[in-house]
Amino acid sequence: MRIIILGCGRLGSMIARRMAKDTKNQVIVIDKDNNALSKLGNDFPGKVMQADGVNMAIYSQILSEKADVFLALTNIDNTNIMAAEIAKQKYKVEKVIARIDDPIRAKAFEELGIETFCPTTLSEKKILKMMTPAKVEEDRGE
Amino acid sequence: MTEQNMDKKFVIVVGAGKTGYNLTKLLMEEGHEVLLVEKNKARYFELNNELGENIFLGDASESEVLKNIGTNRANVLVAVTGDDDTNLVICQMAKIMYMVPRTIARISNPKNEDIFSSLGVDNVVNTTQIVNSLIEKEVDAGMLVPVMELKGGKVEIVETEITSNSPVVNKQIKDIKLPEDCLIVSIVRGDDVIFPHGNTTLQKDDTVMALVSKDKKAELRKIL
Repeated sequence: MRIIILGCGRLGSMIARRMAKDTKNQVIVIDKDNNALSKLGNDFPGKVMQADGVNMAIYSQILSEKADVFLALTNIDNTNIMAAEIAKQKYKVEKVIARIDDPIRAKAFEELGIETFCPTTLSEKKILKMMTPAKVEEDRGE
Repeated sequence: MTEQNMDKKFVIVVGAGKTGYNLTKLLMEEGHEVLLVEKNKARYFELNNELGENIFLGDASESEVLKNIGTNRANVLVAVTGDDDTNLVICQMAKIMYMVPRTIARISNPKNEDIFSSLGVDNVVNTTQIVNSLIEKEVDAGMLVPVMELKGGKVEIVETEITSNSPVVNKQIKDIKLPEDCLIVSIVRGDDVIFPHGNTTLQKDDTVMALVSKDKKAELRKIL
């Protein structure tokens, strides 16, 4: 698979490394910060590109060749949305996933056909789950 | 509800930079209800004395903020922050969540122009003459300012100001050799809108609106 990842923070770099382990995958990581890209290390088998995620020019370069997956994982919602829309609408990438921290924004753009995930909602669920057993015990104790 | 009160609109302007600030003031002078939204505290307090309740502190790309400022009853939303992605997302959210009839986005990176239109944002500088002439004031004379892209982005309405050294000044339209696929649709002269025909004469300081296919834009620019 040809996989494009925008944003090389903790999440982006982790996924990039994981996906690149499969030698059948071609992974391309984009970040505007060179330091972020260096996190991947010298032995990273994929390609890295230093570029701004909201600059159309890079996509005409990268996405002119068919990509299977596009992941927008920066910590800026709007950047992720715009990049995802470019990939989806203009370059017809089949699988486009965007990270959106604002739950309502995530829902709004989900309706537009972009698959989103929201770290805030996921954390909320996780935290509530972690709290529940303790709460049950507390209730019993009373 | 949309067409009845044509004169008075509720306009939300996002981004209190030079454009947003001036646009807000001019729209207020025109008697519109305007709310300028700025996320930077320092800039907000700088303008707060002057603009009072017409300026709001907050990040308009946060859905909560859009809700609180009454986006649902806005007639027009203009996003003129310095970030293309922010402008795009705000316009889209205003459309999807609050059905704002007209959304206008500023684009800083010209390379992004194409996608903005293909992403279905109105990306339309309001055809009510006020807003687009206001935005146009921020732009150097002699440039073709995109006003509206028609579907597909192949045809555009552009506008430009006729300067005194333009080759077409004091010429009748029928004597101007326009490129193919190009039509002058209106002329704004002072407060008047002129529906041009062949013997209309172009004057200095006229704002000319033209319908033109994208690949003829450069040719049109040379002629005007």
